[in-house]
Amino acid sequence: MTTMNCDEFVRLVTAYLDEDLDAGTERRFTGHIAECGGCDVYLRQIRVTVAELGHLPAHGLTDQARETLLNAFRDWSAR
Amino acid sequence: MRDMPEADLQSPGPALPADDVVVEALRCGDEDMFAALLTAWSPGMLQVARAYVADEHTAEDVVQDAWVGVLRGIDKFEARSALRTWVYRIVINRAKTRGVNDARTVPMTSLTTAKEDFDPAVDPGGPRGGSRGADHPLAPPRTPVAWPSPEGEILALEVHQHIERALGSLPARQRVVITLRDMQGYSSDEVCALLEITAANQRVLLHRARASLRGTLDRYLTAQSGKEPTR
Repeated sequence: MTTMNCDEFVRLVTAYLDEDLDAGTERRFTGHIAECGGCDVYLRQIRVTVAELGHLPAHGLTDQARETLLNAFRDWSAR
Repeated sequence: MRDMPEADLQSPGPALPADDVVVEALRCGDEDMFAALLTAWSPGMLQVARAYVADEHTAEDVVQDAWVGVLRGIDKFEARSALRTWVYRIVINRAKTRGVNDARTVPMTSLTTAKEDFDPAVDPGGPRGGSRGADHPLAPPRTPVAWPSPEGEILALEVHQHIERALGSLPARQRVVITLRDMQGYSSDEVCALLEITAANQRVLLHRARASLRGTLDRYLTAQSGKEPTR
């Protein structure tokens, strides 16, 4: 089993998080985490980034747009 | 014939009745059902539209236009995909068209497929500065430093602002993928079907978008180091 370097680690990080690495590559990937503090931190930062994206506030339509659409619905259903 | 039923968008968002119930209610003029759909799906549609157009106002125009398109098309909806998938396709198509027409503000190149979408995805800000950085004698390896915890309320707000700004600088193709995957929780299969891209392409776009946002947060948060406990 060849060891993994940091470039390969970074290239595979998205596939790893999608649980899409084959078993051998996944072992090399997790093996690299154990050996490389920088990549361990990098992976954690990617996870934090993904988590923060999931916490961004989402906004709905403005009241005006909503009212316009409800009116459009009434016109449409009276067709 | 049902095309790619596995790609239907089902999971995220508030619970609504089954598609056939919703569609029948709309066709019968049930305004409460339409109002419930507007509440449930518009926030996600606005985020998706925003990937292609220059500002929130234009995104709202696009979403309004898409909902009108939904009403015009609902009688012909044949349930080949989930209703939500069908609605999202409408908003994406309209947002793309609007983005092209507004090319003054959104570069055309960000709407079309680029060669870089298929290049090996290495993060130039990653642990060793990417392959070029690592090979280059003048580019020292850059080891990531743990971030301060963004738990504090003010810090969390600032993190969100930095992320939103960074999202604005992503090419549309990357932004729509990271919006669907990480902001809205769709699976990679769902995103591929919705955007009609390959799994490999979806992966590269997501990878680049995440790497770019991590880099933005890194620049901001490492500047905060020493002020907050690290994690």
